[in-house]
Amino acid sequence: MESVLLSLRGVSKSHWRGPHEVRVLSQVSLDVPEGNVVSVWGTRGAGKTTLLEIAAGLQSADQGIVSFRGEDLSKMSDGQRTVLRGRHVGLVRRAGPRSDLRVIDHVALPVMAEHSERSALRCAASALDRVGLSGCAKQRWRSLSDGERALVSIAHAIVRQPALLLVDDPTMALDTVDRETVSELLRSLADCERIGALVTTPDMPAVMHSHEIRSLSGGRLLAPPKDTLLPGKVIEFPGGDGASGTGASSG
Amino acid sequence: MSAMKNAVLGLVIERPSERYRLAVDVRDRFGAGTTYVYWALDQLEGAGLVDRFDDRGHPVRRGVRCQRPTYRPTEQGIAHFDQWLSSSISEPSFRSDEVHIRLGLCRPRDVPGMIDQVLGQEQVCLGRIRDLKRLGEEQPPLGSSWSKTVEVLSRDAELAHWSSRLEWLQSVRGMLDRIPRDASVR
Repeated sequence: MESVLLSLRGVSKSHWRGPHEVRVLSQVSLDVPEGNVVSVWGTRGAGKTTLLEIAAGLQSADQGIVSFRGEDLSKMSDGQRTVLRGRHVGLVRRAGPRSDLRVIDHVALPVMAEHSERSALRCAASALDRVGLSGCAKQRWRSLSDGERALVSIAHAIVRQPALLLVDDPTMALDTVDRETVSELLRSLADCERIGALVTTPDMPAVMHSHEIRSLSGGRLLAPPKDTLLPGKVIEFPGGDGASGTGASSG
Repeated sequence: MSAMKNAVLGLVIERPSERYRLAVDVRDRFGAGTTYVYWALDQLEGAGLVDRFDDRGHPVRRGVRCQRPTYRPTEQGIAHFDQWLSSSISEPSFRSDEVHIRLGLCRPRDVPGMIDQVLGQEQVCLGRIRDLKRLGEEQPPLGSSWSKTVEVLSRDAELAHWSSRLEWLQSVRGMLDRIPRDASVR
């Protein structure tokens, strides 16, 4: 049985705009088991980044429990949460280095403090290999395409061998081919390396390679209905030339 | 001839098969029901665009019953399909569905119930999206980069429909949530 890495139970969060309370998350519950990609889809302002930051322990929830491998984040000190993020959680954001570092140096940064330079560069080379970008190691960040930057951001997050990835909008501004590459990579990290990933995105096609899809809006996190539509139930477009019908039958 | 009937013809050209196999393919890829596909195959045969063959590969004459015939395109069918694929695409159209109609007629006192209904519809959209995902996982593309490209583009088309509907339902729910419950009946 897959063990749950990240668990949110009844998490609520509000922001205040003057006297008005804006409910960003309302009684949100979800689990991210190891080896699973759980995607949360929502439009801009739906609360996705807040959800991700609460999951990472960067923000606290007003109500509810956030736990990593059963340990309640709210009962940890700031220092313990920082250690947790450093050792077990990889945050994937598209922000690049401020200076125009070589790709391999950028990817090696998270492990520079605890490894020799040579060892850190070896870890970075391995992370780049895992995302299929070995050939870009000596290139500069600014010379990379958007798709390559997305992959390098993932390499930067997995260089410390985290158990859990928290991924913010990994396919932002990517074309169809790069989007598929990034989504498939996240799925293969889960399937082959048992990494769990919580992915937030406003891009619906980006969720198609995940194990579980949720939708976030108005503070509520929705899941698909439990009953399955397959096989035998038909997906129909409205207004489709009378081309509708019911389930399959033998013929 | 309608786009869906051309889709049936296109699948016969892509992979000549028995009609049940074709019906499943059309259903999975384009969303038409089995009954429609059977009807469309009869129409295509009547128009001379497809032929039926028995299990020994012999042609079956029109109107003659045959157990599990295989449908193959005629030369005329292939030419017709090529001509259709290169012709102009017809204008898109819009038709109100039940959610539009109910929203257009609901009263302030109906708002709480409508919010629940909209939430249910959002879940249905998510269910359809999950089903699309499963279909992709159960029927991986045949391997060539072209078949994968076509599969992704085709999936994205349906996905765009369900995700834009989901987004619209979310905005409807957001607006309904902000309506005061004691608003006067119009």
